[in-house]
Amino acid sequence: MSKEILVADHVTKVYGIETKNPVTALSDVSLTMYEGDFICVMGPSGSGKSTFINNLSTIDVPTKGKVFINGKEVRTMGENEVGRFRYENLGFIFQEFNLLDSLTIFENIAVPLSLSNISSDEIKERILTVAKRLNVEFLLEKYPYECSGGQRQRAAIARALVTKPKLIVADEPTGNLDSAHSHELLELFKSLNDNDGVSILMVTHDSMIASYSQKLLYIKDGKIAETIERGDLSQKEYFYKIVDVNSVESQKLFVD
Amino acid sequence: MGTLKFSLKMLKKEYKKSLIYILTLCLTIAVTFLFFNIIDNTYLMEKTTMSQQMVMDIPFSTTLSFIIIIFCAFMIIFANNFYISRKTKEIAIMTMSGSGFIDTTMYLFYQNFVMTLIAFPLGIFIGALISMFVNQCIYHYLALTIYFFYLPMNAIFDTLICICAIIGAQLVYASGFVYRKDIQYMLSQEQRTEVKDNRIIQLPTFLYWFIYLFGLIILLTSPYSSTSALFPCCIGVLGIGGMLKYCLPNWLKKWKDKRYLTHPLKLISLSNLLYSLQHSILLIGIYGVSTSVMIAIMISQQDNPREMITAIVGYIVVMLLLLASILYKYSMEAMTRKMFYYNLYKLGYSYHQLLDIIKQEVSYYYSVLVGLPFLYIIVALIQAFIHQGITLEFMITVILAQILSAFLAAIVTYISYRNSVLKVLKEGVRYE
Repeated sequence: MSKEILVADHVTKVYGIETKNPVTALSDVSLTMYEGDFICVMGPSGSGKSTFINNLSTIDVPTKGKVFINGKEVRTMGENEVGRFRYENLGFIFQEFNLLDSLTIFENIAVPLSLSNISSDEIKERILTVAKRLNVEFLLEKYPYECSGGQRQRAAIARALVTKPKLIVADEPTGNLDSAHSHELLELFKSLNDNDGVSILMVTHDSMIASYSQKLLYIKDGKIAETIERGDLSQKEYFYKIVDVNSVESQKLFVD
Repeated sequence: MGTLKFSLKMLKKEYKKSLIYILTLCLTIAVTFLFFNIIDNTYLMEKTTMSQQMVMDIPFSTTLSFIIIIFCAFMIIFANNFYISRKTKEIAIMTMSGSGFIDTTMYLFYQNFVMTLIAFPLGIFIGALISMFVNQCIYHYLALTIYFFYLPMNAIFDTLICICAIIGAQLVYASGFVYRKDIQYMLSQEQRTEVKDNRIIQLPTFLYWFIYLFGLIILLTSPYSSTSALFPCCIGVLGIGGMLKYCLPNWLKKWKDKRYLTHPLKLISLSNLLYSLQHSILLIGIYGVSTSVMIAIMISQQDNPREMITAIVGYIVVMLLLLASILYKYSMEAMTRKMFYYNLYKLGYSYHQLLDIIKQEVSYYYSVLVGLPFLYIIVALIQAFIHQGITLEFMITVILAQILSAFLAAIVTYISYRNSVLKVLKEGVRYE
């Protein structure tokens, strides 16, 4: 039995709680994530997908409910402890790349390592290794605004992988990539998941991209509406199941 | 929705952006009024008799006041240009929605006009208060006894005419901006971070160091006179500009890679510092030249109380105006860095580490701002002191004024920066 790394226990998130119009983005959601899991989160716009992964990855704090990391509740952890957990265990990848514009690509990749108290030589060595793996070694001296969308995304992935994270949190990682680069990225995720045991929690709108995962959570109106396990299904069969779940809402709109 | 209604609605919605601009405008109007008060004050006009006729002579204080008013006009136009550059997304969306050239120009004009309408009475009120105190100081030096509340009415009209002329200039600028820039440019303008090298002749970087030091050598070696510091200070500012733009980036980058790769706070704060410096080279240059030149003028007017007090007031307001402009620009830039700090937070930086990064960046920035022209100012003051141009108290007061004003500006910048970027971490971000 794999080890639990992340547990969300009846998590609710309400925004603008002190205002006239509070919005419940997430309502009583529970999830247990084990080491080596590859979970994909889908759902319509505004359903609470990003809120869900933000609450799970310590970026946001739930209004109600608890999140446990390695058995410890996030709320009981100090600010520095949460920070250390992030740079030691998590790798974030986003649609907008979120590279830091005033830093070169080299420095961007170095940022999480600079938090880890490792030597300058080791930082350089690890950056070069990950840069070669993602084919960005020729971009290291450039600034993000000097790179193309695909190059920036690869640099952002290099930054997420350089700390050798146990969990990759990806919010629409292929949103700004063309089809070829998207599948290249997913092959990389799959290889990290299969060979290195890295857990992946990913939000996407694309059923094809979601078909690389082992488990799919379909979120609607802040609740998990459906869960699909890939199990022994082929990627193609799994893909059709995902398409079915996603098209239920559209099918309801047909008169006949 | 009509252009007027829409422009007012957007002004209200984006009140934070507008508030800082209104404050800058208000301060500049107050200073403009103060110096028109000096020019128009009948008690301060120099009267000389020339062949049976009373002739109004133009004293140096009037010339200096006039120069400072022009400087104020420049500051308002600068602040407005920057304000417009932060509104490009709105302009682009208007253009995409079918708004024509005149509508978009009028949109900017209405907003500008409303902000000026708010800032003008407030600026005149503040200016009047300051003027009454400054007038009393000048009367005291000239041994005159004048009614405390006396203010020349012409100063209000002159300020009004001046501001109207500036609004006209702004309208021309706004229309040119709307006409020249395409939608694609405007949509990405607020996120633009690159600094282009537009030099026709690419000088080697060491030359800028040489120019900076060369000015200092001229200052040290040229025979002392009350105005001997002016020319070397101007040369020094050329060197400072070049150093900031072309030497410092390489130097800081090497320094970061060599020493601060393992330092999570300095790695970020130095990178941000570089960005902030490169985006305010003009202001830093003007700060350097204005403060050095104003100090040189104060030194040269030691024997003339009226000119001296005008120069002191001029020095103080120019310094304050420039610091206010730097503060304004910094605060506006800070508003665009919310996601930058949010990303650092995601990467594992704690709230307190982010605060330290901001603290470091702001303190380094103001150290560079004060530090670069400081060598020139110190040398000019020491030379004047040695040659009995100024007293020791005067020298110390000027140095303290230079440091303390920048220190206060740094504190306000830090608070404004912190509130702009870190509030989001406490409130949480909702993406969808």
